[in-house]
Amino acid sequence: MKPNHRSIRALFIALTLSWSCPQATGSSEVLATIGSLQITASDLERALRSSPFITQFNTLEEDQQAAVRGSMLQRLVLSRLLLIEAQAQNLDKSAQYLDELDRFRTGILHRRYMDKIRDEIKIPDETNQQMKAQFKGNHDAYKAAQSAYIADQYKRSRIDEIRRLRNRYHVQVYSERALPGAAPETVLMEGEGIRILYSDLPVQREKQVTKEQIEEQLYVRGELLLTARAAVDMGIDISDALDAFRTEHLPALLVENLEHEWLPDEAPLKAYFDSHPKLGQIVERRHIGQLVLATREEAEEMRRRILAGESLFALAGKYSIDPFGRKNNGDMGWIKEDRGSPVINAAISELKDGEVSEVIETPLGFHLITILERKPGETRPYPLIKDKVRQMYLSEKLTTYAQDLAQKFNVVWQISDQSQKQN
Amino acid sequence: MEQPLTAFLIIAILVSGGVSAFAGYQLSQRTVADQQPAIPDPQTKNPSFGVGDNVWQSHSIPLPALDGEKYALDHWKGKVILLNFWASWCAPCQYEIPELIELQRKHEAAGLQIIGIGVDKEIPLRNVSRSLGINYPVLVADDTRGPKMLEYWGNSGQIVPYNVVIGRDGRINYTHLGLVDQEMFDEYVAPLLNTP
Repeated sequence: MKPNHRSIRALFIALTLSWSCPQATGSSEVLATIGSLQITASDLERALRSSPFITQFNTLEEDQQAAVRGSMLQRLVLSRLLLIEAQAQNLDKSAQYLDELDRFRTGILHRRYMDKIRDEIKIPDETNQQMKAQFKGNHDAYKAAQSAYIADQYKRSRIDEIRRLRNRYHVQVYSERALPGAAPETVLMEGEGIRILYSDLPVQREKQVTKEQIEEQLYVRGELLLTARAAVDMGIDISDALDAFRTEHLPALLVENLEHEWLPDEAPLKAYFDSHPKLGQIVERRHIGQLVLATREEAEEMRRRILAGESLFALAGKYSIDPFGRKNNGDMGWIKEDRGSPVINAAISELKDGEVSEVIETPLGFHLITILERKPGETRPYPLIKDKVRQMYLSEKLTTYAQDLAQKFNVVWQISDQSQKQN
Repeated sequence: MEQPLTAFLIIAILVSGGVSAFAGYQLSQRTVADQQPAIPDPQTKNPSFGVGDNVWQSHSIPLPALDGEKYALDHWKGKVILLNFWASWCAPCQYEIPELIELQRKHEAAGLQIIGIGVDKEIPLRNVSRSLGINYPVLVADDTRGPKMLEYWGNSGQIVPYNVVIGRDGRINYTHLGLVDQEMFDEYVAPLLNTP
């Protein structure tokens, strides 16, 4: 994709993704395709709704929300591209991924099984009525009493259930072998389809460990495996969770591999820093005061009054045609020297602190500027900004990589055509 | 992939978690002439409404709504009112709004009137209302008197979300700090809908 097309595409995305009704969340409208894979409006909305900034997103204006949607869609497409590439590279068959998947699978099976045990606990009607009567008028206290009852019952159910599963799977626990310094292959627990070796426990990696710590971890691991096994036998479906794990972890694994490939050591970072000298530069910041008038004559008159002793800030609060400046009595805050109007920057380049500028003409009006104080610029050496350099370097590499993937897997943005039709 | 700059900045601002100040103002204010023994006076040590008080015995001050009109609470006299105090920056408040929308849709014919009291600035309130498709009126409290207003309605901690259930006769049936759940609705709101 050529750069000029990318910026046009971003504009189209922002223009098109401006629906605001909650009803749009179920839309199957296709926004982009990657080969035969479709990314729909509901995929995008789901990603947005599960993002950590959804509360703030809802407070934005429509055009701002459209811009965020556009950005989210691009991230979603990138994530899918990385997933497809990760699968093409067989990362889903790598030992690292399979190990992580197995741990996740066991954990989620355990959780779903225990959730089921908890959900099966019912408060007897009579007890519930007693609670209701006791806490009438205080719903929070009533809910807390309900929770306390369920927590207490759950504690008992959990112990009973583990005992039952140990019998069911004929589990033998060899506590006498759970000793510090045991051989890694020592079997500490085994039953039907379940076996725990000393090397399976995290504690075996620590130098100083007690028998009690080993036994505690053995019990935790045993409970995890027993309930996971029981969940499988019960047919508890965790395909949704496994799918989500795959979608999130394979792209992350690919990026991790790429980082190792791109940065085998610090040499590329240092070279990048040397070729981008501006990375270490922090420009001067200036605390600016400003008064804007509609005509040159008015501006000259105000300048005379300021030179005669009146306050630029007091006059800005009364007469400035810039709404922000007028509201803030001309105090424009701290502005970096490379930001703002080039015409103004050029005109105040020689201005000393506390002086009032000559009248400066811009399309917005006739400006009088003063600099209250400055924070001088500086150049930071590589060691101090290593993290920033790393971030910039990887971001640049990933951008190029993503563009290559987009070509390789044929990304087609459907929304630009619709946007053109709308316009 | 190139990110549109505006979107990037917005995301950066969002992720940084901008927090608005808590603000609002008094919704209902008593005058000396209105004083009734059962109605708490904002000037006394215990200036709040509580369960059992009758809100129609107090003077009701109009507040601007998101539809551009101004409404006093007695505009909805005769309905079963669920006052929902919320703010745009409050995640739990936003979390319960879809539930409130559903409750309003389901029980409107039976006389339920949910009224959102936005203890916040108008623009973010309006945007949240649009984003979530709020189907009940939202009144806007401004920055200056919101905390007092919450106190007046029995919420001395000024915590949102906060819900006040008012019967058709104006009597406060229940006040609740936190989210409305179905069990709470069934216990304290639904019975009022079944009475004339």
